[in-house]
Parts: sequence; C-alpha cells; structure tokens
Amino acid sequence: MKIGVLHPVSGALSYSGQQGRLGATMAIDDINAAGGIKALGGAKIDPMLGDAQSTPDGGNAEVEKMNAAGVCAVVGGYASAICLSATQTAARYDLPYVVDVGVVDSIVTRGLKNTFRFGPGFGVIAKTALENLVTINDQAGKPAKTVMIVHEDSAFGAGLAKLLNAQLPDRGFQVLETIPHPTPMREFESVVLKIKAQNPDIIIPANYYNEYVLLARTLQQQRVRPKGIYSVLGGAASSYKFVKEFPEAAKYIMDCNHWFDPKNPKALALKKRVEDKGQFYTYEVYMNYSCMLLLADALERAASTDRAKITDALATSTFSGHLMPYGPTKFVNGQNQGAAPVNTQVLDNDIQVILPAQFASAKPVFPMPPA
Amino acid sequence: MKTYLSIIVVVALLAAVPMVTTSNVVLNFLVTALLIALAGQGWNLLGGYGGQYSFGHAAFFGTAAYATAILQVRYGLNAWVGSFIGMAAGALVGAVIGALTFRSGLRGSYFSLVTLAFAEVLRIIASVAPITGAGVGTLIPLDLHARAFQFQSRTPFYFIALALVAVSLTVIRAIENSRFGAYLVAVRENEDAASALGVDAFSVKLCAITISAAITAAAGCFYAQYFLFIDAGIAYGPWISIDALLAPIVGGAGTVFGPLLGALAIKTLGETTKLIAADAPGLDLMFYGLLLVGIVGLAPRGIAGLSRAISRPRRSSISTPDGSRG
Repeated sequence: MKIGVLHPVSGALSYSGQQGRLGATMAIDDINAAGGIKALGGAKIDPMLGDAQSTPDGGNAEVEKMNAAGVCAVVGGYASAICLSATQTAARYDLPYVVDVGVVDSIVTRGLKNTFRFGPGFGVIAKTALENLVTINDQAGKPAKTVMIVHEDSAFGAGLAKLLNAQLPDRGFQVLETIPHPTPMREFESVVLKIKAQNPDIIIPANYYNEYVLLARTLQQQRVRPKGIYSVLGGAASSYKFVKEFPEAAKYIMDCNHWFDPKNPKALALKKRVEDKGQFYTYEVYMNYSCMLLLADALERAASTDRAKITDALATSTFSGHLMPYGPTKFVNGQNQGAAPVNTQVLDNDIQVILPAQFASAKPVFPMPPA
Repeated sequence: MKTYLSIIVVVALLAAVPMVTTSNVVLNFLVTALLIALAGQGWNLLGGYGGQYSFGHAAFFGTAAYATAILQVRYGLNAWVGSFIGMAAGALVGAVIGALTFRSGLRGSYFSLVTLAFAEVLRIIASVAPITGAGVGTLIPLDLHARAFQFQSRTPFYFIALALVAVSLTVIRAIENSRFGAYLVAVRENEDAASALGVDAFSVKLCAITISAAITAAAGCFYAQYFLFIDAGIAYGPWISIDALLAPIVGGAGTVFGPLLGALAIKTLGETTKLIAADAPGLDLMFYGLLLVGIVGLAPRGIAGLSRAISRPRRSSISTPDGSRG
C-alpha cells in the first residue's frame, strides 16, 4: 500500500525536509520489517517520496501526484505554508493527511476533515513557552525584564512574534523591539548591532535552522551576552547538529520546542540508530517517525485502504506507542490534545530537558554565567 | 481574422486537453504553466515589445493577489468582484511605478534595478503590515462554490486560466498590429530616434507598463484563488518576477506565443528533470539549471526565434523578433 511522504527536501528548508524524510522512511522500514500492516495480510508500506521544493505550490503539485498514484494517506509537509496548501489539496480527494510539524493553528481550524496534526500548534507552544519563561525567571529571582524578538517573517515566525508581543507585557516583560527577517537570510550583522544597542535581558529568536545558527554565531562573534537566549521553536536551539558544530555559540541557549520523551527507551534506541548512520537526531526525525507509526496504527484499526475508514481510524486514535511526551493520542477537530513542547537547554555540550519537571534531566542555568 | 487564426488554433488545442485526460496531475501542471504564461505575457509586453526589462513584476502580481484575498477575507467582497479590483489595483501600481521611473528618465539596467527595488519594498511592507496578515499571510477560507471562485474540480480552473491566456494573447496580437504597438517597438529599438520622429515615448511606455501590470495582475488574482493562501514571500517574492521574465525569454521575447511556449517548456523541463533525478533531493534543480543554460545558449531568441531561424535561415537581423518592422 502506498503512503505519500511529503517534505521540502530541496530549497530553503532542505535540511529540515531531509531530516523529516529520514524519520518517516526509517519508520516505514521498521513497520515493514515487523511484518507490515497485519490487518491487511501483512501488506508492506510503499513510500511515495515527494519534494515540496520549499514552496506551497510545490507541495500542492506533489499531493496531486500522490493522489493520482493512489496513496492511502500522506504524512509530512513540515513548513506551515506548505501544510496549508497540501492539506487543502488532499481534502479535495478526502485523502487523510497527517501533518508532521506545521505549527500555524489555521492548519487545523479550517474544518478540513482529512487533516490531523500530531504535534502542538502555536497557541499551545506560545502559552507553554511563556509560562516556562516566567517560571525560570522567577526561580532565578526575576533578573530579566526586557526582551527582544528576532523572527523569520513567514507564517511560523511572524505568527509566534505576534502572540509573544501580545502576551509578554502581561507577564511583566517589556518588548524592546521585534525584528523580522526573511528566510533565507545570509548575514545578521545589522540585526545583532541593533540588539547590542538596545541591550535586552533576553533575546527570543524564532527562525529556521540556518538563520538560527547564523544569528547565534554572530551574537557570539560580536560578544553580545544577554542574561539568556530563550528561543521558541528555535530552528537550531535544540539541535544536536548545532551543538556539535558550534558548541561555543550554543552554550546555555534555552528553547521551547518539540522534543522526544527522554524516558522512552524506544526514543533513545532510535536516537542511537540515527546517530550510527552519521545523522543528527533532530525533531523532524522523531516527529515524522511518530507520525508514521500513528498512521500505521490507524491502518491496522481501519483494516482497509479506504480513505474514509482511515480518516475515521485517525480521528478515534488513542495511539501511545510514539516517541513524544504527549501521552495517548486524542484528536479534537484534527488537533492532538496531548501535544505539548518541552523546554531544553544546551549544557555541557549536550541538550538537557529543563522543564516540565516530570521529564527534566537537568536544572536550568539562568542567568547565563559571564564568559 | 487571419491574424488571430493561430491564437484560435492554439487555444482550441489546449481546450481539448480535458477531453483527452481527466488527470488532475496533468491539469494542475497545465494550470501552473498557464499561470506563468499569463504573468510572462504581462512582462512580454513591456520587456519583449517595449524593451523595458522589469525585474519586479512581482509588484503587480502580489498587489493583485493581496487585493483579491484581503477584499474577500476582511471586507466580505465577492471573489469575482475582488479579482477584478485586484487586477485594477495591479494596473494602478504599474502606472505609478511607470510614472515615477519613466518620468525620471530611468532606462536599461537602472529601470530593471528600480523595479526590483519596488517589488522588494512591497514585500517588506507586506511582511509587517497588519492588513496583509503580516508574516502570517492571508488565508482565503475554503468555500468550494463557483460563486466564491473556487471549484471542487481542477477543470474549471483550467478553463479560466486558459481563457485568461487567450485574452492576453489576443490583446498582445491586437497591440502588435496597432499603431501603439509600432510606437512601442520603435521605442525599444531606439528611443531617441522614435522621439525625434514624434513618438511620445513617455506616454507609450506608461501605457505599456499599465497594460503589462494588468495582465500580470490577472495571474496574481488567479494564484490567490487557486492556492487560497498568500504571504509576502509568495506574493512579492523574487520567484514570480523571475518566472515572469524567464518564460518569455526562453519562449521568445517580443513574440505573441513566446511566454506560452516558454512557460510550457520550463514547466515540462522541471517535471522531466524531476523524473530523471528520481528521489535525489535537489538534483532535478541542477539538471534544470544546466538544461536552461543550454537552451538559452542554443536559442538566444527563444524557442519562437529558433523555429523561425530553422524555417527561414539567415534572414535580416534588423527585423524585430516577431518579424514585423518597427
């Protein structure tokens, strides 16, 4: 049975897209190795790989092809704009679609019956991020009062910046400035000079991988050392690749992001396998891996390749065999209710979970010690 | 009627496609190709016939797309009415940019750079202005009814795109055969000489950029209704400026069918290289780039120019690319 695996594997988001594809295809290999979909006589999953080329119309065209090729469902999308366009195209054919990352809430609030998002959306992420920021600041004796936000200017970064701007003042933080930038962006000198001039206590970056790394490195080069760098969905902040390649720039960075359940042996086993392949265990990998398992579980229960039955099986899913700290899956209007981000911090060249307490492997270090 | 016969034949052939195939993959492919052909036809009038190479046709495309979307989402206007206003808004932006740049006497690469700058400024404004939804973009709610300019099937979209292209082909042919068209080509060939002969170069160029913007704007309106989501990068991003000039240049700038030929060639090339490259990420884009370099190298006057060179080798090099005398 064919499953569409859609990611932006070329273009501006190619790194994340390829990581997503890695996670999805590893899950498919595992499912097939374990005997395929048993309810369908051990049918093997045949992935149909699609490249959204980092654009919404690329995603749309790929879903058309997948539909024509007769896939039973599609997993992926990654970027919000691609997810918006791809889910809508899939909806034309009642094709079940599991969104892997795409955090814009309108993906699931448009009333598309075919669309399911396993991970958390903006609303939940921003709320958790703010609560945890207040907790961390309070525990340290409230040293931070001012904030600057640096965000990429598409749906993801701008949406987040809007939410943060609306809510930070209520929680006792003054937003000194909000700086948008496009993706891709190849130099952050001017942005960092602005930050240096305003000298905020906390910098909040919200951007994709390459820009995040560049921003963090420029901050390090310009010797800008705020009390904390607290990212929300920071593209690189909780990426092992970043920590390994730029350990100095990554030091003490905190992030509120998608993260695997560090107490789940399956998640740790997959981490080892991914690292043995010479790849990094980034969130795209384990989220796509989990999404594919979620879909396989729905296929088992649907015991059919009929799209309507698969959609019903997804809608009633209570799947808990995934790698995320979400608990059993429960979809309400296509959104997984248990989905939530965690807070991480780069400590001793590793990434530790600092909040919530039940998953924490370290205590937050805040404010950053002087260089 | 004879002058329009080729247009009628081409459009009739394309209109027959849905009878041959009901594949939405093919229709979607053709719709996106027609979209680029339409945007490219706008560029072709100003760049191909008028010799004013714009790098910023995204300004017209984006304004129309945003106007269409915003009028529906924020003001509850009907999508069809919104699209017409969107087209007018695009044309207005064209007239304003034209008035500013041509009045300042900007020509050649200076004109190109200024148009690029206008598109970029609009992109940055759209990425922060609340009315455009800033970076979050504008999402047109799903309402699959003909009155909302949305369709369950791809076929009606295909016919609408084809109709728009047919209109644009007819307009360009009519201009080509008109006094205005002759003035425009004269301005392209030698603006000073044309002025000396009494052509009001400023008015001719201004008129050309306005019509050009309106045609590209129609593509913007169509894009908004087809994909139902736009953000600053989509609406005003460099991709559409590049596609809009690449299609006519590959197909044959300054010819009626250049943009359509070019758009179909580019899109077919893109799809073919995807098949060749299979699942290796980005490899198709490398093939695509190489082939494009090859095509442009082999046929500097585009596909239309190449076919003419084959049928009529070594003819006068003074004649304009479409064969008519300026």
